[in-house]
Amino acid sequence: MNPEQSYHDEPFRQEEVDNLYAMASRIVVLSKKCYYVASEMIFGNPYSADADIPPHDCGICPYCRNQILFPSFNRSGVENVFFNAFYPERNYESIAEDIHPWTLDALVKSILSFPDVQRLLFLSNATTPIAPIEIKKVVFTLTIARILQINFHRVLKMTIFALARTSPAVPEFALRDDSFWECIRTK
Amino acid sequence: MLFLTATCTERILALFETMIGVNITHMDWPSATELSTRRVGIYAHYSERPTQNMFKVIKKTLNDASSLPKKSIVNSNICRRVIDLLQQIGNYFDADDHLNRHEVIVIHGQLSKVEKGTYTRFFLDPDHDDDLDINILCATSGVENVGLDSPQIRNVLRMDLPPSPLDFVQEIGRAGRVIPSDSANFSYILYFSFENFIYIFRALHESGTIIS
Repeated sequence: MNPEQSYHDEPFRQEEVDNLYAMASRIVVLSKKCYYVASEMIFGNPYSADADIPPHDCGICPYCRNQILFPSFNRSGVENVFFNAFYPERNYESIAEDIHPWTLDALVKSILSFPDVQRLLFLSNATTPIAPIEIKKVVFTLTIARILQINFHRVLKMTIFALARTSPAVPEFALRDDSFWECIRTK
Repeated sequence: MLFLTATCTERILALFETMIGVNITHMDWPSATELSTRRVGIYAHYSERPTQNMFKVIKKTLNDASSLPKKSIVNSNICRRVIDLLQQIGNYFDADDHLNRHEVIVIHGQLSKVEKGTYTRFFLDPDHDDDLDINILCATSGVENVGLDSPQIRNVLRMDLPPSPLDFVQEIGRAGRVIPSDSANFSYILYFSFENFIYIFRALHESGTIIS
């Protein structure tokens, strides 16, 4: 790609977005392989012998060092908090309530104000207020696991979030589907 | 047709074959095991403000009394960020009596091909000028990735999320090009945050340009 040129080619854009997700998946959600083995199997010669598997257990990447980059979450609490953030229970009808672009800042602010959020998300009894960066890590993880959907709003010129569906044709939320949680460390 | 490549996938090969209209029959393409002979330590940190941590790594490397190389590359996706980093590292060196002889240089996509080539040579050639001790290169990742093959590069510091696994692999490959490989002393350090991810996602949808 020529970095000085814009492109408006949707399949190519989608490919680049997929690449971005693939990159983030390496470090954000639970990695299933040594970082080096994952790369070497992609970029090594596919026509070499089947037995050609590079050595695992390199001991020098975050996976092999068992480095924990993200906290583990309480799944039921995360489901509760995020579902209520996007679909709050209301005792009155208000059109204005629904017109609310969920930017990262708005989402983090909303979740921080949720009662007992520290215990719900992390099963923590800490009394100090939770830092916004911890909420961002949760949102980041859920986005890369495709439980949250990130979209670019062309009119508002903003990136906004929504709860993702398990597939476009069905109404179920990925938030409630076990298969989307397999790559997330839970408590 | 002979196909030479350092970082390739079957898809890239297929696209290249389609583009030139020739089936490539002979390849010099390292196997996965051959690629594994050049590994460096990978460190990843979630950080929204990684500058202070970067200073510590640079200082430790430059003050290392061993005979190991001292050069580091500082990568970012964003042109104005690498220019800011150039300024910040320069100020950091100026404020430290032990570091003020070191120089930092920058290359990005808005420089001409000649300028990029010249600055890269300045960075890599230790004998080009005795008065300059250039040990840090700040660069937009795509500009610097290809062809910067030197055993003198000790660390690559990535200040935001790489846009793809291909960029990740290319950047790791800049550090520790020594034989035999020395993963204990050469490293790739990645600082990333959710904001980096959103920045790239937005750039891909807004202008189609990742690297500014």
